[in-house]
Amino acid sequence: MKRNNRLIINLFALVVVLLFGFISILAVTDGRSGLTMFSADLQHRVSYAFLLKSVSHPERASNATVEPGGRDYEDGAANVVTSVVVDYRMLDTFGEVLVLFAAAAGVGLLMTERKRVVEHDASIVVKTAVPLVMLFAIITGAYIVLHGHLTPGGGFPGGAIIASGFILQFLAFRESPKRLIFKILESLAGLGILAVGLVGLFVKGSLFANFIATGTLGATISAGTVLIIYLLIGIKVAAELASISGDFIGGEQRIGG
Amino acid sequence: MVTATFLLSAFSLILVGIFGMLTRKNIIRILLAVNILETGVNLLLVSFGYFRGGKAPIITAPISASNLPFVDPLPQALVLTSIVIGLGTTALALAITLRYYRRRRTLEFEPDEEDFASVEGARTLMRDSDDSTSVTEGKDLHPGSNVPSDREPAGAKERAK
Repeated sequence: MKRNNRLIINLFALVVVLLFGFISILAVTDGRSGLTMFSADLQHRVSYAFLLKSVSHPERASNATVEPGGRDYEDGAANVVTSVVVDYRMLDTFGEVLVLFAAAAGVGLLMTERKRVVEHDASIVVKTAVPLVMLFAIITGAYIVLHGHLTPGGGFPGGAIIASGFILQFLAFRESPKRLIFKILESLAGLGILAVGLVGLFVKGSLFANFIATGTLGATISAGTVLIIYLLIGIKVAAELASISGDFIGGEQRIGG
Repeated sequence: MVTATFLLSAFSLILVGIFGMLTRKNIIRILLAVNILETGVNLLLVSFGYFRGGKAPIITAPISASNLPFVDPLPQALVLTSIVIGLGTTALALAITLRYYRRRRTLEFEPDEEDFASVEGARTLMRDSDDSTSVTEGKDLHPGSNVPSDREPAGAKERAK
């Protein structure tokens, strides 16, 4: 009887899934009403204004040029995805930061009073290698965070790499991984992001506006608030992932670590 | 064609994810299926911005309105947010799963009789101090329906004391 139920459920799920896939692929490749998803040119898309850095003045887009070494563009990041995430659509990124904070707070509330059960110590290979690997992880993560406006990367993957260094430390040593310093750092970084947004509101009239002069495109110190916000996001994500992992692994709480 | 490859792989991931969500009973497997589904959706979103011969949208040479050799950067920016949100929901779902396991002693939604032969073996592995059974010990949470999992751990704890 149970096996019959499983077969019926599997068959029903298969039928539903195939139907959904068929309808979706039809919807995506249907070309009867003009443009499909894959035939629109960049001229017709929203990213036209993002790429040419002419969102505030869209009439200038058709004869705008952007070159590395040029000064004082609307948003001076050479990485266009970063300029979209941190400058033009910063409100969505702020919502994402809030979601991460809610997840970390939820995990912290749910994982309470868990004594860590260590059955074996980590081997001598792990204990010797982890400080070295952690050093490289933190340096690589910091590089990716700081160059978010020039190369692919930015605060989110860089913060994750830094957190992986800390997770290695939790797993290899008998240190208690629940540290208050991570939660304090995360909260301060989150407040810092909101403060940058509010300063932009008072100086330039809209939340998260870029109120620092954007400098030379392609230089390390450029793009105004993009660098500051990505730095704060990197710190916040690293602290959040380390605190989430510390909560899962368990251990007693020490003030300040 | 490259776009056909993108569409095919993204849709197969999405369909595998939906199938796994509909037919699995183990919570960890359901969460894995949700993760596969999110990966497929992210791949589909990014592939909507693909242009043949397009480069990554980083400005390393002068560009102008007639010379835009890039792929679309906007879906990439939105998918960045989506990946991070997938991480957040997976973390919270795993925390809830851990609490569910501590309360119900099983990782499935519908435990049946043969699962409780392994409960004793599972309990020797879990030496956590569980502070949550004091709320429901002795209370019948589902009067009238035969749900043994709520009463069995309380009874087993009585036997172990």
